[in-house]
Parts: sequence; C-alpha cells; structure tokens
Amino acid sequence: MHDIWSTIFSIASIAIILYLFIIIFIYSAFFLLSIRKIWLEKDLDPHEPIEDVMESSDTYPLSIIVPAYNEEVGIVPTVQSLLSINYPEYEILVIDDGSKDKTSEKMIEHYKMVPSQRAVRNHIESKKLLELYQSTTNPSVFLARKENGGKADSLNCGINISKYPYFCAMDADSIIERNALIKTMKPILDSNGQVIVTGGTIRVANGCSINRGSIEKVRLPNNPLVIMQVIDYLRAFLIGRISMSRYNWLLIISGAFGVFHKQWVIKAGGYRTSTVGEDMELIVRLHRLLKESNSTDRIEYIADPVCWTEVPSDISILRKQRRRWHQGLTETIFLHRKMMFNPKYKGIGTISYPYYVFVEWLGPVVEFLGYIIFIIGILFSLIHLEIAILLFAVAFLYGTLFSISAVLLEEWGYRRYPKPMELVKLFLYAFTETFWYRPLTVIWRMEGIWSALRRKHDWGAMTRKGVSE
Amino acid sequence: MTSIILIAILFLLIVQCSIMVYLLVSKIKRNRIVRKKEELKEKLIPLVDQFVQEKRDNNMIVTTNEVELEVLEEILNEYALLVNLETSLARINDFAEFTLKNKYQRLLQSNKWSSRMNALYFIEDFNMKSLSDLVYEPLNKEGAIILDEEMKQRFRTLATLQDERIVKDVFRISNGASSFYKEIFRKYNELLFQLQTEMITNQSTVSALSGLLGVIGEKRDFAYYPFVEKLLLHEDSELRVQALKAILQYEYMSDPDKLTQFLMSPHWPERMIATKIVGNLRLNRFKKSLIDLVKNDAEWWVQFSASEAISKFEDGEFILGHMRESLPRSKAAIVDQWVEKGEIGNA
Repeated sequence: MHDIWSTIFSIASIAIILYLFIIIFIYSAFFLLSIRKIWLEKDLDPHEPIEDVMESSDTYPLSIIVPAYNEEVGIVPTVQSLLSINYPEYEILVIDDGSKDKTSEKMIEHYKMVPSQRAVRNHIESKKLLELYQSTTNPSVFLARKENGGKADSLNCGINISKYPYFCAMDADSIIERNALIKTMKPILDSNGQVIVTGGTIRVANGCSINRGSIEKVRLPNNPLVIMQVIDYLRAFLIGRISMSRYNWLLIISGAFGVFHKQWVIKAGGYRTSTVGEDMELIVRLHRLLKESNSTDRIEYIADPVCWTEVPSDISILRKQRRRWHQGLTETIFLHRKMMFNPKYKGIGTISYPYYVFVEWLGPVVEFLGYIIFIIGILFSLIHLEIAILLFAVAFLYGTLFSISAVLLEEWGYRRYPKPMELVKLFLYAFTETFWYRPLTVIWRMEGIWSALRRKHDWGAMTRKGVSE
Repeated sequence: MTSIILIAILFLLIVQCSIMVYLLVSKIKRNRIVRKKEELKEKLIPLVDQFVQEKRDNNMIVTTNEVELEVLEEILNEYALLVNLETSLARINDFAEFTLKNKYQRLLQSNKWSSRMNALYFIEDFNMKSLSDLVYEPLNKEGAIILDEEMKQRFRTLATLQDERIVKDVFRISNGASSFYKEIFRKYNELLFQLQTEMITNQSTVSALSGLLGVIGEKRDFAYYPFVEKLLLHEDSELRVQALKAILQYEYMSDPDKLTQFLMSPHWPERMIATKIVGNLRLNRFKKSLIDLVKNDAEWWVQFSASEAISKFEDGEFILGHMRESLPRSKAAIVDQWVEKGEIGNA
C-alpha cells in the first residue's frame, strides 16, 4: 500500500515540477521580451517625447473619474493631486457611491461646490444620480452623489456624466505622477485614436513621503508585507504586462489607473456590475468586441507613467484584496469561456486567454497541491528525497528569480528607488518569498475561487491609514 | 541526483547574488555621477547665464567630457524653455551648436535607438540647422515612407528646422494620421506653409488634407479661405467636417446658404458643426432648423449643439424656455443646461 501511495505521490510531484518548469519557461520568455523593450528605451530623455504633446491643441481633453466610497480621509488630497497634473484640458468627476461618511461634505466644503445643471446622458444603466455639484473655485471639479451600487456602477455613472471623449478611471486612494496622464495619452494620440485603452504602472506609495497629494520622496517601506507587495507589483507590471502588451494580448488594465475611449466602452456596455473584477472583465469584453467587429484597434500598457497607491499593510486586508482579485479573475474567465482556444479571437483566444486560465488562474491550485504533496510526502516518507528537494528548488527558483529580475528591470529602466540599500533590501526580501508570502497568497487566491463559486460581492474598500501628510 | 540539484541551486544562488552585486555597484556609481552633475550644474549655470546675457564668449566653456556635455545640454534646454527673447534664444542655439554639435552628430549615427531619438529631440530644441542633412539622410531614398517613432521625430525635427525637402516627402508617407500632418504643418513658417498648400491637391490623402485644414482653421488666414470652401464639396465626409470646423474657427462664411445641406446631412458630425456655425454667426434664417434639430434629431450631440446655438441668439433663452415645456425629460435636461447656464464656464 505504501508503495502505491509513494508512486502516486512521486508522479504527482513530477507533474507539478513539470508544470512549474513550463511556467518558468513562459516567464523567462516574458522577461526577455520586457528586457528588450526596457533596454531599448532605457536612456531616452523622459521629458522630450511629451513636450510636443503637452503643447499641442490636438491633445484630447479627458474626464478623470474617481469613484469614492467612504473616502473622507483621502478624497480632498487626491483631487488636489489631480489638479496639479500636467495636462492641457481635463475635468475631475468624483463619484460618491452613497458613502456613509463625510466624503461629499468634505468635497463640497473644500472646493466650495454648488449644484450643477449639466445635461447627463444615460449611455449606461447605473443607480440613481442624486445630485451633481461643481466647484466654484476650480470649475473643472465635479462631485456626483448617487445611490450605492459599487465601484463598477460608479464608473458607469461617471461615464454618463463625463463630457469628454476619453476618460481616465482612477482609484480614490491613488496619486498619479505629474506627467503620467500625458504619457498615458501619448500612444492614443500617436495612433490617431487606434489605441482605445492605455494603462500605466501601479507602484506602492506606502513608505514614500507625500505632500499635498504629490510624491516628494520615494522610499521603500519597512513593513515586510508591504515590501513583498512592492516586489509583486514590479514583477506583474515590468515583466508580465510589458510583454503581453507588445502583441496586444493584455487582458488587464489596472482599475487604479487607465485611460479609455468612451465610445468603445459605451459600445461594450460599460463596466459590469455583477463581477468584482470589473477592470479585467471590461478589458476582456473590449478585446472581444474589437475582434468580433474585425477592428485593428489596440489596448496598450506603458510602463513609465506611474500611479502610486496605498497597499494593505495589514494581513487581513491583504487577504481580502487578493481573494477579491482572484474571485474577479475566476468570474471573468468563466464569463468569457467562449474565447478559450477560439481562433476567431486570434492571439487573445489562442494564447492570452489560455495563459490566464492555466497560469494565472490555475497556478495557485497547482502550487497548493505542491505544498500538500511536499509536506505529506516528507512527513510520511511517501516521496523520494531527490524529488522533494527538486520540488522545493523549482518552487524557490520560481519565487525568487523573477522577483530579482523585476528589480533589475526597475533599476535599468526607471530608477525610482534612489538608495542602493533599498535595492539590497528588495533583493533579500525576494529570497524569503517562497517561505511565507507566496504560500499565503496561494491560499488567499484559492479562497478567491471559493468566493467566486459562492458569488460573494462587496465594494472592496480597505481601511486606509492615509499616506499623505 | 541530489548533488546535481544542489549544485544547480548553488549555481542559481551565485547568479542571483552576482546580479545583486552588479545592481549595487552600478547604483553607487550612478548616484556618484548624479551628485557630480549637480555640482557641475551649480558651477556652470552662472557661466551660461553670463553668456546668454552677452557678457561672455561661448568659448569659455569648451569640453568633450560626456558628463559635462550632459549638464550643459540640460542647462541650455531649461534656458530654451524659459527664455522668450529672440536674441537670447539665438545665443542659446549658437552655444548649443558650438558645444553639442559633435555629440549629436555622433549620436545620430549610433546603433542605439534611444541615442538617436535624444539627438533628434535636442537638434529640434536647439534649432541646429547645420545637422539637417544628417537628420534627413534616412528619408533620402526612393519609395513610400513608413512612419515609426524615429521617422516621425525626423519629420518633426526637419519641420522645425524649416527644411524644404519635406514639403514633397509628406506625400510619400503611407501611414500618416491627420494629427501627425497637423503637427508637422503647424511647425512650418509662413513660406513653407504656403508652399505646402500650393503642392497639396484634391488627390492627396484624406489625412494630409485633413491635417492641412486643421492648421488653416487655427491660422484664420483669409488667403486660404477659398481652399477651405472648395473642400466643403469634397466627397469624403471626414474632410467636409474638417472644412466646416475650419469655417467655425474663421467665424465667417461667404455664402451661409451653403449650410442648409449640412444641417440636413445624413452624417451627424456635419449637422453638429453646422449648428455651431449657425450659433456663432447668429444666422437668424436657420433658427427654425435649429429648433427642429433639438426636437427631432436622433443624435444627442446634435440636439446638444443645436440647443447651445439657440442660446446664443438674443431671444435664445426665451425660445429654449418655451420649447422646454413640450419636450420629453431627456431633451428638457439638455435645454436646461443652456437656459439656466447650469455649468460654470458656459456663460
């Protein structure tokens, strides 16, 4: 009996090792693609390419939509930061999604707002708009008070209110760099509107010094959980998204910062309110629409424009967030299962979608099985020591190599962290990932799949400590 | 087997540690250069300042040192952005020509894309006409031109340098967007712009024509008005819209009766711009058409701009207020915006 179990365990271990090797191979390919792009652009003057765009009267005006739910602490500095960005013409629409705190009151008081009679179109269904205000001190700032309906519903409401042809969806707790919007808009302008969505990089604001809604000094935080998220974000954006974007395979533009062509989003039906991963779901639906209408328009990610966001520093909030992300992924994958291996959707259907299913979605399940097999196998001597060591080695490699590569890419291309010791810190923490952070996120993501099955929904708000001074 | 795996792990650890050492050393080196550049900048700014104010000759700062050249480039670029006086700008450009020309000459021939791009940007910023032949070199070939990032920047730089050769070359571009043409034509001086307008024909691409119309509208020069009117009759709707937009910017129309066809056009952007012209020119004879469009047009934007146009007439608010009573709620909301001037900035 012991022998049978031992054989089963060994076969399962080898299958998992093979799976992990395939993933390592895929990530290596991604890394090489990213390295090519970053290497090419690494010494390009950061200001020159946007000089003309800044001065051009052809730069499309855009509406920045900021959905807010119980954001009384951060909403005023966020709007303040948005008012200081470099962009020729824009409006800011804060959508208060039925907050229970003083989000609206803070806005009305600080920006001396009065009721507005703007004609609001009903492009997309959303919960009832209660009041619309406009600032008398900054007429480009608006506040909409609506019935509670969630983040996706707030974004839809913002689309209805917005006046410009492009909109930027932003989280209320995020800060964009002064030139981020113009850099994000550049591919749209250069392509004469053929790029319909662009997204920038999200970085961790915890630890940085922020004054009046602007990042003054970039610093690495001290909290290990937050440092691991810094590495996580670097890996996801600088390796994953750069490479996927190259072939128009990108299935996600972060909800925290993305610019969209309004008409395409309206055509797609707006944000879906019945999923928690509304940002990814919209991108997949837009890809689907593009392919179904034989359009050659594209969705692009650009690494340089940076949006800084406060990430959870508390384990229980991080757990909720990761669970929610994976639940969103599960729901999106299920909703658009028709695209899987469907040649009609070209690269998206045959490469990108299967990648998200087998690597991003199934990854934690396989890894979880790996941990179980490793622990039980060692405890009951059911697997050979060599296989156990190999399993551990592959997991370790998987956990560290790409984290370290991401740090390398960050330093080559963007150099946001000024102190040498910060790089060492990132490096050393990357080595510890396999032993604590990765297993935790694997479990949380498994919980996300379970939540998707139970169809659990909430706003996904987190308790903010506030990063602004 | 175990030992092979352990050796492999050890090897990977060594690789990763080597990356760390490399990163650390390069970071320390880089920070040192940044500090050195800051110090140099402090030293060089007063010298450049004296030169710009004509108190010093440019040959006081002669260097081939890469870091010093970078700092000089940075300072001159900042000055070029801040200074408005033409004589000072000319001195900055002269200085750049004297100190940085060799660097850009070298960079333009580099294999590295980012180096060539940087050189093109700065040659444009410092108006370095002496390098225009080198910038033009890749265009000096037969056949169609396919625009990529670098080719676009070459056109931009040459347009700023007022290089006549590109007036013909813009017609060889196979994938130019109207916004790109607009960008190029906007950089031309009057002479070059006139030359371009003379060379463009009805057979030119829609993008090129559309770009030209866009810049003509911005210039509002009546010398080009007949060209705009001619394009009102073009078979392509996009061009007709651009021609209408140009007329909107001119705030003049020689024969306003021509608007009738556009107010009834099957293409809603044409109807929309036509209503705006009616409003801006306060053409009373089309008031009834505007009222019809608010009431019956299928397109929201046309209803919106027609309401706005009505609001510009003396009795506009009265007409809209009266109309409001009989309109369904969605249309009444549009009218409200113009009756009550509900948005700051509308008035």
